[in-house]
Amino acid sequence: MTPSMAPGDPNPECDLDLSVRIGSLIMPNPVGVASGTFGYGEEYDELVHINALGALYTKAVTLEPREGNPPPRLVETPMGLINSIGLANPGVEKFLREKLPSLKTRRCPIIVNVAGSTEDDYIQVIERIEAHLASTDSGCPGIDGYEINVSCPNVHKGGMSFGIDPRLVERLTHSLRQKTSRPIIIKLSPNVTDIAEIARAAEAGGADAVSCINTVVGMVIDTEKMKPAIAMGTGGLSGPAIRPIGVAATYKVSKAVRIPVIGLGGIANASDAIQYLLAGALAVQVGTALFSDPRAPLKVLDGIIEWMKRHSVHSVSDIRFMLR
Amino acid sequence: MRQFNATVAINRAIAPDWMHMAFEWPSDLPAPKPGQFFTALPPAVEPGAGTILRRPFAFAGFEEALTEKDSSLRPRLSYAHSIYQVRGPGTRALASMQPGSSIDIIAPLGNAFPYPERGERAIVAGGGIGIGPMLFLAEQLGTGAYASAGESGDAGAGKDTNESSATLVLGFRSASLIPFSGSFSAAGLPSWKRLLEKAFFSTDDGSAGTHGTVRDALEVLWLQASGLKGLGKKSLDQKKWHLYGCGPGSMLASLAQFAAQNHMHAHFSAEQWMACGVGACHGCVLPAVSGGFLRVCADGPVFEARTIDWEASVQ
Repeated sequence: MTPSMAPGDPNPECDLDLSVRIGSLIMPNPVGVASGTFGYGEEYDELVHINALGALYTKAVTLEPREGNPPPRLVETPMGLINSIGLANPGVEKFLREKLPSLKTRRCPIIVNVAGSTEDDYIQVIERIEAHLASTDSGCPGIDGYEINVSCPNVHKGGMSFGIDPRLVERLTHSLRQKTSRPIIIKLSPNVTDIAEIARAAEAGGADAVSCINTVVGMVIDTEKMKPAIAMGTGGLSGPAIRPIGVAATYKVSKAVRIPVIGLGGIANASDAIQYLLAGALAVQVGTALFSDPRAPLKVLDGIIEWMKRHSVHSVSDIRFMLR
Repeated sequence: MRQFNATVAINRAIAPDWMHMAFEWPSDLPAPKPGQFFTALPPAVEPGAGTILRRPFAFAGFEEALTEKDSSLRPRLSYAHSIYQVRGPGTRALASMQPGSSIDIIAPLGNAFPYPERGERAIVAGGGIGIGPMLFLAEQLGTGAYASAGESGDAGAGKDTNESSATLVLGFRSASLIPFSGSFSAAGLPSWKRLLEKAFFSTDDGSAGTHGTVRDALEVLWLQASGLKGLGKKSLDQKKWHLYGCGPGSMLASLAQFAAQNHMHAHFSAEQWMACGVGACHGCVLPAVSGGFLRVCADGPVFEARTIDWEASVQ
């Protein structure tokens, strides 16, 4: 990221302030790439100008390596994608050894997505990462914050079971708050009765922000084979199909908490992203749209800039107050 | 790999529900190798279908542009070729694209088939729409072009295979589905026609070649090569086989068994539902024999046959 940029600093190129502040972290612009869709960055090196992103949210990291769920893991639905990957990842030790070095070379903020089955899993992942960062050169940590995945619908234990219980969310957030001074973002599940209640619990626990929303539980059945299209039966629906759900959740959550809301769910173009910003989000993430066009996040950013100029908006963080 | 907009040069039917697409290839991008694939973004044409993902396709051929020194009949631009099946709204939308239109491509992706080892005979087996990459591989093995493009393999091995070329075995449900036959006589790549003329066939209904599967056709050739049976167009010698395959999961499971039983090297190109195509999302995995899963897009699509649990992958 650009260390010299502070909130309120005008962007020298176009006199717009694109920066957003999440806790102590300043993101140079509001458009990040969503966890699980961008790996750890390397996979997209040849296709995306990664340093120009507002933030890179890594694929989930768990304490132990996870193989993930059996295939088929994906099925396309009208304007959507259902996945059940099952948090396949190399585990925190291998992440620190093999993935962190390339993340350190990035000039955009890196948010590590953390998942677990028990409260202790989450705590240990963050303790391990913090210990590693403390023992190495702190000039360029390669990790600027954490996004806590309490809402994955695709694992049997933990994951979403945390995300549906406000007491567990508050306790987990509070425990993690003791372990790091880096920003903590709680990723909210839409698969709950009252998402605002969960958001308030995250805020009460000391979260710096919430991201809103994770995937929506969905299912497709192959009528010829008379079985579910993906091996796990149900999975997480993403893509434009869920965008109105995400925008409504963002609208609701941003009225319920004072901490920033990061909007995601079906953002494919600038207008989609601006809907989230107008609904109350300070920043956004682009995920599934990467699969149709890896250029989507930077096109979204260009479109936001164009919209801000057209509507004479100076600071991107003002958009959340502009809904009429 | 690179994302680029290419001009569609050819997009026409070559068999029922089968299309041949060719598009212009950027002159400064390395040529694709047999086994590698590209993803294409289908245009949004079908109301309500709402496809959002790119579609992955194997390369079935490549025409390199004329170079300055070259006096042959090569084209002025380079073209990548593919054969695809119309299966749903995404491929239907691709099939509707007219020559001259622009298509969003990411390529080249994935790994390529390895070169056969010295003294090995390449047996190239394709089933259904899986024949595309096998035509490309057989063509490259036959011309010896693959030797220079190959990852490894010494010059001696290249020469060896150049002389003997590859044996192509292709399976179809019925003779009427073999491309470039009947009312689908439009020209494909000249090399495809030559290869199809020399290929051994199997059909499920017995209307062409061996009655049965690709495996059945291979068993016949294997017996013949072992001197146990005097059938077929020509006899194969006693060289060690290196089996290359691409086709339905059930075919690959059967060929993996065949290769293991007869102690041959085998490399197969796999297919799986895919989202990112570059290794990031872990959506397109197959079960590995050693445990865990391998990504078709980034660890493959070409795998040594014994590394994948093909039986589990077709369940």
